[in-house]
Amino acid sequence: MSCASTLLQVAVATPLVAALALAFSKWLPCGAKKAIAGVGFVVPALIAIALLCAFPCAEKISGYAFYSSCEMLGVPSLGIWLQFGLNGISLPLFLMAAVVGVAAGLRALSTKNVELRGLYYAVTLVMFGGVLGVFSAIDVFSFYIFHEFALIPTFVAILLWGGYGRKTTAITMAIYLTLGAMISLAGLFALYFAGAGAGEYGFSFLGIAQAVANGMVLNGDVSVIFALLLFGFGILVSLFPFHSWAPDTYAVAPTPISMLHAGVLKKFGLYGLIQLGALALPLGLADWQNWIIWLALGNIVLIGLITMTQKDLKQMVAYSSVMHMGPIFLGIAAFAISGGDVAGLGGAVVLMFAHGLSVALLFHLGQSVYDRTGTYDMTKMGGLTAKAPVLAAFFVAATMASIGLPGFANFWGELTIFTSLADIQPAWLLGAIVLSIVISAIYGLRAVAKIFYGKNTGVALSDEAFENVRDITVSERLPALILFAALVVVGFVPSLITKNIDATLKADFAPAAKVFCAENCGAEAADEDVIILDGPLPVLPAVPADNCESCGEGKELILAKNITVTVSGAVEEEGDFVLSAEDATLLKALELAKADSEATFAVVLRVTARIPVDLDELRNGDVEDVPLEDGDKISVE
Amino acid sequence: MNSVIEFYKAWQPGMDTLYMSLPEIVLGVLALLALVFDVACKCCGAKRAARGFINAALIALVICLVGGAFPQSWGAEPKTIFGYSLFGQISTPLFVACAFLAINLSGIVRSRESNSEISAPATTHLILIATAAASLLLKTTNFVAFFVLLETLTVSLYALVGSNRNSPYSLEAGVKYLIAGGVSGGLMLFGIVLLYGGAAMAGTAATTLADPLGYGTVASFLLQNPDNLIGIVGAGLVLAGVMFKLGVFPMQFWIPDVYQGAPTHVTFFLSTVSKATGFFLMAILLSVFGGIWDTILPVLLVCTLISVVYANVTALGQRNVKRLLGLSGVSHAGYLMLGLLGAIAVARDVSDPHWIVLMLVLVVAYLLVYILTVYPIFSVMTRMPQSDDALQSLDDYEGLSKNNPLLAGTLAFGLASLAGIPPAVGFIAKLGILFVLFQAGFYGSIAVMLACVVISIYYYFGWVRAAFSADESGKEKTYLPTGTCARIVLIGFSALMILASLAYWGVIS
Repeated sequence: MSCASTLLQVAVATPLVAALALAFSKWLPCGAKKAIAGVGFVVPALIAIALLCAFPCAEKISGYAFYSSCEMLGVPSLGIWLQFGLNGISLPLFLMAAVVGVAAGLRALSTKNVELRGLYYAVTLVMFGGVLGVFSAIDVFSFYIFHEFALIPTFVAILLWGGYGRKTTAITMAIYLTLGAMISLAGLFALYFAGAGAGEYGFSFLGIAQAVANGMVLNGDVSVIFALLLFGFGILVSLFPFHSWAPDTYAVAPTPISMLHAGVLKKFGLYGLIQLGALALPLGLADWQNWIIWLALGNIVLIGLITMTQKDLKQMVAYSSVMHMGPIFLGIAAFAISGGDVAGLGGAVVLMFAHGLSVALLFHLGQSVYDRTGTYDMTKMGGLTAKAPVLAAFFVAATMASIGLPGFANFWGELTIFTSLADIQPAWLLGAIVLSIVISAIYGLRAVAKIFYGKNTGVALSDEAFENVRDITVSERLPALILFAALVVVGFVPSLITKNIDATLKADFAPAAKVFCAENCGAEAADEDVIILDGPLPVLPAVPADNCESCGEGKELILAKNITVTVSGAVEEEGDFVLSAEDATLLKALELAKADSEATFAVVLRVTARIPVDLDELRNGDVEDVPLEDGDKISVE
Repeated sequence: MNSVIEFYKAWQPGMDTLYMSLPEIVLGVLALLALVFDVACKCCGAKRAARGFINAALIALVICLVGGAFPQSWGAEPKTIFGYSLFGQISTPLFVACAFLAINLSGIVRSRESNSEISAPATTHLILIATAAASLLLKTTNFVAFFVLLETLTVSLYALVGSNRNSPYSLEAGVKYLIAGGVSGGLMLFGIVLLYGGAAMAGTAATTLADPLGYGTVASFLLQNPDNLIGIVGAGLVLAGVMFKLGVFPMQFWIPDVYQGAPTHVTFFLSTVSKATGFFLMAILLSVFGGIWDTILPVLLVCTLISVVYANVTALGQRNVKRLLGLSGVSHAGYLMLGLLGAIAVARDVSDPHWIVLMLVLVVAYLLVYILTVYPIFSVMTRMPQSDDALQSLDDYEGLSKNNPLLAGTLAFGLASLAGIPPAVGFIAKLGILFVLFQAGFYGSIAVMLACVVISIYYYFGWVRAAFSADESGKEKTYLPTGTCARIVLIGFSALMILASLAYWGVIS
């Protein structure tokens, strides 16, 4: 285990240890509690940045760097044990979790008038540890368990420090999330028992990636497994129409919890869908792609319209976070729609990264607005720019980022997703999808206008009180700056994360992409090895890769019909050969198979006929060449 | 007649029989000592010393049992009627530990004014007798001994349930338990008689004289005659009696009333030792009744699924905490049954003994985890401020987190574990049951179980919600004191719940 792997484990353990320390800190002074919590928040962020720098030259196992495993925790003989590691997909998400976590932590530390302060920090730290674990644990059950870490802290935080209607909201959230968790657990188990955990690395993302690369065959119904994962994770990610827990929860929860939950934790399901669903069950994804499209459209259009009507700032941000899940889902579906183009998945990962940062920033700034005006009701505010210009600037920037303007990380994610959806059918759907930008611009800019521009309405703040409003303090500025910086840096230098994402996607998802290729361009001509209907991932030796790769660019090539013939007997290379249907003749086949020049006789066997040919006559042109059909078997003597 | 003679011979306590039941004899001696001490010790200090002695003796007994001071292996072939044990190495120390915890809970329960009528020595005595009976019950290989021991256990429990003579709830629960237990005992006896008749009839045809009340004879009778109606009905009635103990539909009806009325430490004893006895018996009897497995599996499966759904749905509207725990216990008994059925189904399919053991261990681990989890919850319940044990409702928990964070935290951990939320160990244990069910291919049961877990979130988290929300009643609440020792125990149990989930797989494998 290398030093960096240890660092990764330390990053996950630090917040949890700090939380444990805080649980027994009754007699400690407030400053000491803050110090302990601060260490718990900051150390993982520093480690995450260090790991980002170390990633390109780190030693990797199938794309996973910083690998470490703890065989004590689990049963290696069953393929279940705790493993850590980061690949190109999880690295940016881990980084995002750490950055949002440190911002949420600073927000929590600077919150005043909190009862049970130690518990408040502890709860936030446990969540933070959980989300770090989600993106760094690579064995599937640990990944799941780390997600569940957050349920009780969120529940307790909402009950103790939540806003209006917290009791109902807390129970609603707990039931919804458990429902989602249970369905996805069933999906994970189904995947496990379908044989996904048999490799050297057990039931882990790494093990599954390797198994997929080796042509794993699942012995279950992939469509059902994918559906369990889709709807289980979908509930956790607030996929329409299972979203109704999310807006209330985020609006009621204390701000640091909302930042972590909406920003980071919700990406758990999407990450799972990419790393398990799209990778191991591409045919399931193909089966359900239309469902994803329509439900994601529900997120974009219906939730988008609801967002536009919100008067409450925190509710609006909460709904917008639900709405933005739509494009990410579409990015995942684009993998199937575009016939194996991984760009959509890449866009989804980038957008997950960017959305986590931008929504956390909005929650954070919303809390700052609330601290100044005493309300979240946007109709009661106005003209804050005059008194808090820096706050206004940050807020405008956060809104722009969430709309997806160039210069922010969100832009790259959305752009990639939209372009990769070019093949979507019916085509007008693309218009509806791009509508998401318009909708988010409408509500975002309207919020900016109501809060920061115009005149003070005098409802929330009397003119006197308005005069006393101060701009954001240093302790508020710091988290905002951290999140903002991350958004802008990636916005201008996307290759910081996209290079890793690309490399991983290209390496890991090639077999899955080939499945779609086989479906699209081999539908008519492919032999029975390639048409896979019942789930097993194919071993694809029969179709040359060249044919397939081209189907991304040129449609006409798809029409070129290929046939496969089998040659055996006195040839140098026995086996299956693929010929273009137009010039598939016996001579061509023999040429490919390097037939023995002294061979004198060949038989073409097909279902309907048996054609004997004298090879000497054929070579001399005495008889006509025999046109071949798909499935012909040629025996040379 | 020969068989009766054989049976009486087996009852002659030969040295091996005594040797095999050594732990139970120790328990019986301790139980008698508890009464003797009560008469002999007049002053307060002496009584305390006597209590200390019994506690120390129980701890020593658990350590000896776990450490292997008593005979560990009973051998493949049982020599006496107490020679058999599938689970003896687990069940006896487990039961003694539960008895120890229950006796100590009774101390807290009695410090409440309304419970002053509960007699300490009688409680200790009865709990120890019941524990000894339960422990011996799992070692017997003969249906007469089985019935006698089961009745010993149940009669002790009748007295324990009704032991709070001041409380009408406790008396009512005692009577209800007596009637329900009597009915189930009658059914079971009838079942035993039918099995005896069947086995004896078959036995007369055979050349060897076997004890027709022995497990082995009954098992081979059922194996040879899987379609025999008498055998099937007899086995079904015996299983119904065991389901009464375990609390599985249709024999679960007594649970809410009795759990509510019984003093809290007795409720704890019912939900641990009594339930565990039912579970272990079920496992043993299902192997005895292996011949008619295909007939009884669908019936048991349907009963279990009904009881899981019934318990979770009826618990939704429950405000009384003890009834809630009773219903939750029914649902957990259902999960255990599901796991057990799955494990046996797997065991019949595969021949790898390692794999079979793993399946059984996963299910037994669920039981251990359940017991580990309910103790802290009961411990918190005994310290709540309401005046009457039987009337503890969710409202009494409001404001707990502010007034007594330790109790609230312990409660949250315990309930999260019951609900099956990581990092508490209940989640890993549920994972184990799911693993077994998937392996057995019980997909419908998995769906029902997962749906019920989601339903249960409402009442478990409703309870946590009560504990963590502000007190709006404005009443002054005085909690029973939590001493340093109790604090350490509560924190220890909470820590254990997390550590156990880390160590779970390691211990299992």
